[in-house]
Amino acid sequence: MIRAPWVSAGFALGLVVAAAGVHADPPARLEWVRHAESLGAARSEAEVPRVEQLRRALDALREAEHSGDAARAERMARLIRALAVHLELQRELDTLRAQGQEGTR
Amino acid sequence: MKVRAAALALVLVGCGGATAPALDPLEGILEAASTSAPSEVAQAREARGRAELARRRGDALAAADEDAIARAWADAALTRAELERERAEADRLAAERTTSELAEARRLAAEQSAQVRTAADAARAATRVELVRALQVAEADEAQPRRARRVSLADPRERARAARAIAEHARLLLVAVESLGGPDETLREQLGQLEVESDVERADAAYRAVRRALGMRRAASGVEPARASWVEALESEGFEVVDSTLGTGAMLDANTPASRCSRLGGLLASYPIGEVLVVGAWSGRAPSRCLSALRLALGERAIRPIAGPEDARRLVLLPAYGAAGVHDDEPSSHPPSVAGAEPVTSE
Repeated sequence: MIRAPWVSAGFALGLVVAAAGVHADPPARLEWVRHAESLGAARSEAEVPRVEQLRRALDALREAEHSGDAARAERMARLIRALAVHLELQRELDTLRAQGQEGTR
Repeated sequence: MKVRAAALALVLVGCGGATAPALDPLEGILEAASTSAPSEVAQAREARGRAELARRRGDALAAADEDAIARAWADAALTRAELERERAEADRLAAERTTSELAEARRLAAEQSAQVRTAADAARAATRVELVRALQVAEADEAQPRRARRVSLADPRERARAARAIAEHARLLLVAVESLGGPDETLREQLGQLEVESDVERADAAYRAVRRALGMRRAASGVEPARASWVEALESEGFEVVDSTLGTGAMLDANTPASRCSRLGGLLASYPIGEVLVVGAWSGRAPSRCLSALRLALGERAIRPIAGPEDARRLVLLPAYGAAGVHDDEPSSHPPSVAGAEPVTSE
């Protein structure tokens, strides 16, 4: 089976999101993490850096929670939210462009 | 030393004062996206504010985290701005497509409509040509001595075709007759017989009878004079239509046979309102016979001769159906004179 390199990054993200979500403290933070989780694996090569960044942010969130660094955990949660919003908007834009190309064919 | 430092500072201030301060790239992005993505821009600016505070208190890690957050929001703001712009463009293209599709649909509809009109016009013109041709056959037949009539036109197919065309026109006129006062069983029967036996003479007789009936019903029901109908009737029987200030009618010439005048009389009878004006030099044998044929067809209806120019033209006009007389309740008994035409008191 041929697997695109970004698939493994997405798979890793899913695992980390699941692990981080368990320890999320404030309800808003849990919601952001779940939102990031719902975005799933990278859908294209262009998405890989953003998904990787998300994965690192989730790692950092988990570490901060384990070490009791609430301030950093809160910052990482906000970073996860911003990255997730951007990823979602980018996907919406990609879909719109794909529809436009379909329409002009 | 102090002097040199002061001079260097002046040079630097001078250079700096001449150019604008370097633009913060992130701030440039936020400014550009502030209209399309206000929420994302606000988040980015808040993160920048927090990064600045962290730097002031010497917390490098927090400042770096907040900077990363600010950049992520700035990216999101840019993407949203792009998304909004492309959505607007897609909407514009869709609207353009719809407009263009509508225009194409309208063009096709107009084209089809024009084709239908052309086909209908062609069919009408063909019918008219057919009728005129059939009437010419009938007139030629009528002009023969009585005993020779039935053998004058040897081609039976030609005669049958002419009879059918005349009968068809008579049936159309019967619809108009019946719309002005109910069914006419006599005419129906007369036309019904033509379906069994195609005969030019009988078809023509039925056609004249329908014309007479139409005139009587129009007179009885007080139908408004209709110039268009009068012109159409003249054209459908191959007469040259003429419009003058005295009225609208047909142009004849010195050689017009009496049978043709008789047919014109039949037409005049079906347009019963007002007097009939005959304009031109009606002396001489042929015109007098023509006038007699008209008198015979019109019965008691007034015919007023008007002296006209001394040329071959003879006009038979209906003032009530002319462009000037269409809306008159009662046609004027003193029609305006035209150049070269004078009313005469008697023939």
